[in-house]
Order: sequence, then C-alpha cells, then structure tokens
Amino acid sequence: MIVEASSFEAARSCPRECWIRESTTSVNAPERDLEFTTLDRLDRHWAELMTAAQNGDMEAYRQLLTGIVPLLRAGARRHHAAHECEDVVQEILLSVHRVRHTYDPSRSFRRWLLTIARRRSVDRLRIRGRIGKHEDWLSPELAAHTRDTDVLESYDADLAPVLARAIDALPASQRQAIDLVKLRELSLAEASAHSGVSVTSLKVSVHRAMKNLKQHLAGTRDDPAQHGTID
Amino acid sequence: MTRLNTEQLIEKLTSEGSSVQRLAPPIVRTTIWLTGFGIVAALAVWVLGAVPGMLGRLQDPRFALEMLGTVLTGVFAVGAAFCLSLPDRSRLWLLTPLPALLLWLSMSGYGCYRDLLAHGAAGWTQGASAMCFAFIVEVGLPTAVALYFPLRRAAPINPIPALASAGLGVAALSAALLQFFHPVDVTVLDLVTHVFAVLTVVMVTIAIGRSGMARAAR
Repeated sequence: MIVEASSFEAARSCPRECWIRESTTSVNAPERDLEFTTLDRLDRHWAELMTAAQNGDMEAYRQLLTGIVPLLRAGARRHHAAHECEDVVQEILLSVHRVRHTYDPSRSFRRWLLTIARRRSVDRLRIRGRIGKHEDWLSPELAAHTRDTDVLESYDADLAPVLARAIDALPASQRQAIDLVKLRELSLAEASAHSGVSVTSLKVSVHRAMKNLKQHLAGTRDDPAQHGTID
Repeated sequence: MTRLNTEQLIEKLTSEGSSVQRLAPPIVRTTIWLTGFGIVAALAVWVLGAVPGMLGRLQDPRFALEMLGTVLTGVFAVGAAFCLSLPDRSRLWLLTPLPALLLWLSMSGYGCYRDLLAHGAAGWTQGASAMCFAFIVEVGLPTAVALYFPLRRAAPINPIPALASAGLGVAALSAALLQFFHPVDVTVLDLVTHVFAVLTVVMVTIAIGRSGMARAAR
C-alpha cells in the first residue's frame, strides 16, 4: 500500500482534539455546543468507568472499551484506509490496556485517550510510509512494457500459489505465527495478545516457519515442474 | 487461523484484566527520585571531602547563581521528564528547565568573560576540559539509568521528549556535582566541553532508552 505523505503529515500535525473532529465540523453552533456538552458528560462517564476499572471492576472496563470503540473507529477512518481501521483501533485498545495505570481520575479521560490514539495512528502511518519508500509507481514506459510482456503477472501468478501452498503446509502454530507477525505485521506483543500464545513461543514459531518456508521454496525452485517457471 | 476481532479482543482484555496500581502524581515521583539522588550525591561529596572548598566558592554571587541555575535545570528537567512520560501532559513541559538553563549558561559565560579579562589569551586554554567531559558523562549515564526505570513504569506513548528531558536533567545534576570537584571557574573551553557533555548524555539517553520505552508501551 502506498500512503500519501499528506495524510501522515496531517495526522502528525493534528492536535489531539482534531483526531476525531469530523463529527463536529458540519453542524451549526447550537448543535455544536450541545455536542460538546454531550462529549463532556461522556468524558466524565468514561472517567468514572476507567477509575472503576483501575480498581478491578472488569464490567466497567468492558463498558468503557466497548464505549470508546466508535470514537476510535471514527478517528481511524479519517487517516487510514478502510481495511486498516480495525487494526488501528485494536492497537489503540492494546495501548490503552497497557498504560491504563497512568490515567489520573482528576483529569480528562478523553484527552488521555486521544493522545494515545493519535500516537498509535501516527506510528501506523510511519510504518506504512517506511514500507512505501521501498515501493514505487511504475513509469508509463515500464507499465507499458509490463503489459506487453506480462512479466509481473507471470511472476505473481507463479509465486503466489506456491507461497500459499507452502504456508498452508506449515504446522498450525507456525502458520498462525506467520499470519500475525509477517502477513499482518503485528508486533510480537500484539500478536501474543491476539492469539494467546506467549511472545517466546511466537518468536520460535516464526523462526521455524521462515526456515521451513525457505526450504520449501528452495525445493520448488530446484523443481520447476512443481510451480511453473520462476527464474 | 485464530485472529481476534475487536469485540473478542475486548473480551480477552477484560477477562485478563485486574486492578492496577495507579501511578503517583509526577510531583511525588520527582520528589522521591530527587531525594534519592540527593542522598547519594551528598554522601559522595561528604566522603570525598569536597564540602569546605564549595562553601568558600559560594561566597561569590556569580558562582552561587551558576550553581543555582545548574541545580534548578536538573530539578525542573527531571520533573518535566516525569510529566512528559504520561500520555495527557503537554509537551510544553519541555520548556520548564529553559529559564534555569539560561541562568546556568549565562553565569558560566560571565565567568569565562571574567577569566579572559584576568588571564588574557591564557583564559582560552586553562581548565580541565577532558576531566569535565568524562565526569559529566560517567556520572550522568548511570544516573540516567537510575531515572530510566521509574520513567519506564509509565510506559510513555511518546518516549523521546521524556528521555530528552531526563537526559538534560541528569547531565545538569552531574554538572552541579562536578563543581564540588572542579575548584576553578570554568574557562571558555570548559564551558564548551560542558555543553558538549550535556548534549552527549541527552543523545545517548534517547538512543538507548527509546526502544525499551517503546516496547513497554506496546
């Protein structure tokens, strides 16, 4: 995926409150005042829930996390492609969970939450931007050449099924580790939270899976009959 | 493949969750840390017998102001680091050590000027710059480690400002401690060396602490 630089800059330079401001930009002043009042009330409610959660009330914690998800989704939609939004929301929830002991009940919960959300959003854009640096738009000449020769098509058409078969052939634990850590690019901690597998086990599984995949692909390359014509 | 959707993730987080110990306010944490540092520094100065010389030098108002600026830079920067480690505190906390830093540098600069007037060209070359650099770095970096762990408890979402402020704080406190073992006014070379040593401690603190802090928040 290629991320436009402007979307990264917009997210980075945007103050906390504007991360989710789209819901308040298109309404008139009285409605906006009403909306801010509602947000303030919601803020106090969330602060109470978080305080209870810090004290061990997990029902309050569930209500809080469920309650903030729509706000996080709205913010994520402003800066990320649709297919990435849910990942961004989940990363924010994991960070909220990790740093929930830093919330001070005498302060605004919304401000605390939006700082975390904005930071995670920027981190995600930065990662995407870094990946994007290694990708490039095809020049018209090269694109025309590609269409003529179908170089990329034949490459993708040959390699993708081979790789998919190789991944499917992995043991379940290695397949899961590759999916979470390599294909979905989650950190080990996030992958661990998603799967319930320890970070150490994930590291071992990824290492073994990569080794198995290399062996499998080297084997198929030596035997072109298995997958066509990869040179 | 087992990949959780958002609702399942919430269920998992709430089922695993338990009560957490809320962090104390930054002012409390700063006071505790500075008290610990103060006790260790006072013991070191007392054991090494550096107190009498310092009492004599503090009679000079310029030097007293320089020491005040140095210590306050350390105190405010450490306090700012504890504030900046929390998600909802303003980045403007980074500016709190600035007035004290200006006092420190301006009084040091004025000392250099007096030194130049007194010694002429020799004022450029006097001093123990290498020792100053080594002292600030060798005392500053272990102190930065001692500050890193309490800061890491907050799992800073954006660790660089907190680490930069922490680096400045420990470097300033080390420079204040250096004055006990540096019985002459700073020369121009010394001042440049102090600034360079402070920057070194700040950069190393950021470079080493950054990944550990980022892991703690993820």
